[in-house]
Amino acid sequence: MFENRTYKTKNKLLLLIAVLALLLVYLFGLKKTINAIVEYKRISENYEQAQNAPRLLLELQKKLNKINKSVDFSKENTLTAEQNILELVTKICQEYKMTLMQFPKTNKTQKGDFLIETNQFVVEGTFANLIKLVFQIEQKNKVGRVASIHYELKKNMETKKHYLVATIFIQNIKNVKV
Amino acid sequence: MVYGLNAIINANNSVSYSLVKLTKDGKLSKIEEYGTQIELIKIKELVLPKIPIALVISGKGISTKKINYKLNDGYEEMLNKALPNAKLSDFIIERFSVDDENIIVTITRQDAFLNILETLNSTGITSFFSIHIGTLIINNSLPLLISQIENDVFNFLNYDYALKNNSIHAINANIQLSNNKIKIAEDEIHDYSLLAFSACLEYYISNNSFKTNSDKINFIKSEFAQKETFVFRLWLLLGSSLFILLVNFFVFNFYWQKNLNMNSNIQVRESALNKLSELKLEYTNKMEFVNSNGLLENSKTSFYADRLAQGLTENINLTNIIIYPAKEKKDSYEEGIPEFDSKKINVKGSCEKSIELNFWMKKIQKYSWIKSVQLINYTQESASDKAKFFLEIVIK
Repeated sequence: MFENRTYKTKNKLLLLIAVLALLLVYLFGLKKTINAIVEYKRISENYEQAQNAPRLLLELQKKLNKINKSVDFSKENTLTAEQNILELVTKICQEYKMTLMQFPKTNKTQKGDFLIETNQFVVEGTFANLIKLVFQIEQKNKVGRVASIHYELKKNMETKKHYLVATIFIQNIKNVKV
Repeated sequence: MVYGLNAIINANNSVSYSLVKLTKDGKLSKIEEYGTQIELIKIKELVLPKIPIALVISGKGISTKKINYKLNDGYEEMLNKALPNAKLSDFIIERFSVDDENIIVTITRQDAFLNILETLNSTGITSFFSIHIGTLIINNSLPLLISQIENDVFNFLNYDYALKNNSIHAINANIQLSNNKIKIAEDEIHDYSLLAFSACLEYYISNNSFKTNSDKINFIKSEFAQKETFVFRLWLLLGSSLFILLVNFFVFNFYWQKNLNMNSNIQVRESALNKLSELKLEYTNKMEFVNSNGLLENSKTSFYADRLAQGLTENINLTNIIIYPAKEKKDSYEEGIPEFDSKKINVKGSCEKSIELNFWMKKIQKYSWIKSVQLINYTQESASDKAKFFLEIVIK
């Protein structure tokens, strides 16, 4: 086929063959290797994670436990949070001559693995005594996290006297995941 | 390795051949003479296939002349100066540059040259890389013939070659016959082998002094060069392709094995990985919830209330203090999770003069734990009535 052609022509044909040969080398050799390298980089990340999985699991579990502990104010007794709060509030009210006016049912809501118990109660007393009550709850006895306080000066229409009430919201968060 | 073949046209128009083989191994070269008057069939046996051959045609019918040369002179003018009235198409001219004004031309008949070439080709001797006519090719050997040169004249085959700057300058007929051995560097060869040997040297040293009008010779030379390039490129292509494929194979094999090992390792720990991604999601969600509700911060509501009351002046009465008010979107805490804004304190109250409120606001603004104090509302219906105000305090 090429015998009658001059070497000048053969050289030009060789250039074309070289391009084709390199293309074939790429398609049937280099491409597969490039894919293997790309795959290697992808798998490497998973592999490293798989190697470190037990350690990472432990670390993450510790972090989660820390979060759970930091939001959970449960006491080591058989009483519920509601009972603990009621017991403390009535005790302080008695001590400082305050009146517990309302103590409605605990509101329980679940978000993800957290069960959020919100207790609301209304106490009547002097400003100083009410502050003492809140201080006992949030700093000393820690029966829950004080989520909000509403101090309100009210007027008794019969006696025409002013009195101060505080509506206190206390939240307890529990991890319900087994 | 290269062959030099000298075709000598005898007086009776027969052609005899002398053959030389030059082998170069590093700096050492080896000259092998195969004699003169060798038969063509014998040459075919002696010459290894595909080894390049330099052909020199000498003897009867070859004329050599030094002529005056002008820059624009073509081969026609050169021929007319050497052989007046001769027709260019009938002759082959090989010119050798002497200086800017003179050249030496070697002329032979086209048909005589073609006859020899066809005879050689028909025998299968075709690998010519150069073809010369006449004896001027010995110019290649002059640097090796120093011991033979006397007074810048070298005598060979009835000719005296006058030299200048180690190159042939003129050629004169000489009646002396030379049939001796010629010393070439440290070797010796017979004088009949000198032309073939000189032609061989052209393979190793480039010589641009010779030019010819023969398309056939130019084509043969060009094809040989192209063939050398072709063979080199072909091997380069094959070699490099093979090398790339070989290296590629090892690289591919390396990564393939690695991927296989890693995949099997990952499969073994798949359950741990799944558990890890579950925990990560749980951690992210919990952190988001805890941060958005400020659950990790200690509540200081008693401290804030105490400090606000401490700074109060006599003429300001507070009626409402909401520390961490409910977030606006929630109408009441019964709807979903009660959410409170742990960065705010809302204060409502009354005062007699606005200047007193302003003074108190400036005072509490200086507390390190307060970021800003903003008056949301201030109303005083008459001068005798107390003014009512609503402040929003942002905690740091």
